[in-house]
Amino acid sequence: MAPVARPDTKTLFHIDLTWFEKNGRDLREAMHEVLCDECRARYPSPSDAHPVDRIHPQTAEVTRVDALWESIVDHCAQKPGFITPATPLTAAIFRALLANGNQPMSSEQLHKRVGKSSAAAILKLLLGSEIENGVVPLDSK
Amino acid sequence: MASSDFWKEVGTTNADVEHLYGFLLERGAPATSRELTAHLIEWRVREEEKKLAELAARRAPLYQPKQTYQVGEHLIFTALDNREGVVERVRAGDNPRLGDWQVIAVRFADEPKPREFAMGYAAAHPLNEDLTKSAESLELTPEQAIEQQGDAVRVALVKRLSGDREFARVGDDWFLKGLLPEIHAGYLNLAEAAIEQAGDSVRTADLFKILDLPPTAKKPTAMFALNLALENDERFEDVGPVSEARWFLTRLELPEARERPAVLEAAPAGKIALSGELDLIAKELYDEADLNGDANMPAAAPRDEITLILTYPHRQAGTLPLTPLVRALLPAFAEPRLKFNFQDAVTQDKFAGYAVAQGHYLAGVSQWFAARKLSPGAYVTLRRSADPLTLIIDYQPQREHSLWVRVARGVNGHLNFSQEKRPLSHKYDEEMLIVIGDPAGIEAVAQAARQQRSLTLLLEEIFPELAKLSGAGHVHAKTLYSAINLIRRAGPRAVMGALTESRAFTSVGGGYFVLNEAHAR
Repeated sequence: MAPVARPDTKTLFHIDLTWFEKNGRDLREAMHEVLCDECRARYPSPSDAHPVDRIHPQTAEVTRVDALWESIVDHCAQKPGFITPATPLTAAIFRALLANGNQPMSSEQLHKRVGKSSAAAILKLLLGSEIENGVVPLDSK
Repeated sequence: MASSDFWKEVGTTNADVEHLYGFLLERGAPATSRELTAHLIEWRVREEEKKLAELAARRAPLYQPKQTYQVGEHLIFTALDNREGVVERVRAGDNPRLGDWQVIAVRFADEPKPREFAMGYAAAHPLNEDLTKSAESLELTPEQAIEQQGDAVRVALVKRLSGDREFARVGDDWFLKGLLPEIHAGYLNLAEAAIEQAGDSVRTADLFKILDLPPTAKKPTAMFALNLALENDERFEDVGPVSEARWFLTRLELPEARERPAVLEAAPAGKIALSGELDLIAKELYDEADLNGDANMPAAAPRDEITLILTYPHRQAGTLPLTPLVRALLPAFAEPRLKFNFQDAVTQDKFAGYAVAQGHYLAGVSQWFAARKLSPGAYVTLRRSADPLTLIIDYQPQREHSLWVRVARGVNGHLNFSQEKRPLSHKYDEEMLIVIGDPAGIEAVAQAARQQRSLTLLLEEIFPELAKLSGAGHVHAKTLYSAINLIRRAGPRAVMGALTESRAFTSVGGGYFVLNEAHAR
């Protein structure tokens, strides 16, 4: 049997998109909840958000993406109120991963992005018995 | 590519290494890392300028999202490694958040499907910045680039070349392994005999003359090959200063220069805050044990001479401390050892000395100490001479007569001190002088001290022995430092730190301490 690496503060985490369905929750609903007021006015419900053009921040290449993802990554997450000291830690971690386009992040990177607690405490939280918002280690089955 | 990204890359790419390979091949002689760096920067700047000028000269405009383009127009995409594409279609942008803008479909020659890019998009985007500046010039001449970027590029280049099998390095010189003439074993045997006959280190240039190598390569290349062959042969060691290789035979080096004597090994001293008075005393003792490996820092104010007070470990090992001030009396060296000559100030006799980087000491004075019957506490002066590789050594002689002095012995596993009349023929520091009455007994105490007791406990044990020799029961910090070093190697800062931190002792000023009553026997 291959040895299992002990998770540490460099272990990568992401949002398991299937977790929402398996647990009777709606990911798009959860994403809609984190939109800023301006974007929520544009998309009053998750079903109003269709695929849109996204402009790549370096190359200006255009791709078609879901409007919720595009709004969060390119607009809402750029605003200072997206993650604040008052944001609960589990919500802040979820928002940080959404802001990163669900590209995996380590607890060290998450700590830097959410600006509170510590990398070790975040790791402990993410490895706890309860999975919050589908955030799991990248390689977990 | 942004200018900072461009400079981060210079010296690290395969193309850079290939170019330098060609440069050395054509040059036919070794080059220093500075020369390679200067050549590389010059080449890269000119290449980049040429590339940018070509881009500027192309008829196709550089793509920017804020501009508008027509179907059929050719564009150059700087973010895609300056690839050229043709606009095939235009459509409206579909994103209510971004307002009115358009999308162009662009066909690239080697791709089956067109790719889409923003057009008429005036919001902030890196590609919307003014392109003329970055596209046409790095805004640096090669000379300015060498001055501004040379050091960083050289570090990156040395790292890159060090990992490349094609390149050979000797000191800071680089050349191609494949172009080196062979230095066969016979030449190295001759070099060994020549050095042995000289009885001293020999410069590569002098060995080169002696060996009379065949003229198959340029002289610098042959010298490089000879240096490399000597460096790779365990019989030889470069003991010369920076930029002047001097070769000596490892088997002729003093054992104490090859390996640090165990008696000099001290535990690292922690960061100890001392009172101003003790701090000054510690600084004036110039003990390498206080350096914690930091002897390479430049001396604050280099001098032409320095007077040291001999300690027992150095007396035993036949060595002296190599502190920054002592190091500044010698030429800079980057190898593990620098071989030089001590010259006795009175007799003018010369004898071999070594500055040893690892351990920070000078070796080679064992016989000199013994001939002058120096005791721990004796003054020893080191002086710069006209020849950078000669260090004048002196002491302060006086007519030999008997004096009342501290004498140390090991009795039943403990240090014992007494005042005895002993003949002395040198001047000394009153507080540091300790005459060794019984070396074997002291070694037995030292062995026990090395294994078991803390510095504080040793001080508490030794203090009453020394205090009984003074009427007032005062003992100077320097005396305790000198006494501790009979049985345990410790720098002055470590000894004075332990004195300061222990509740057993109280400072009474002037560097003197008394034992508190609760600890007095």
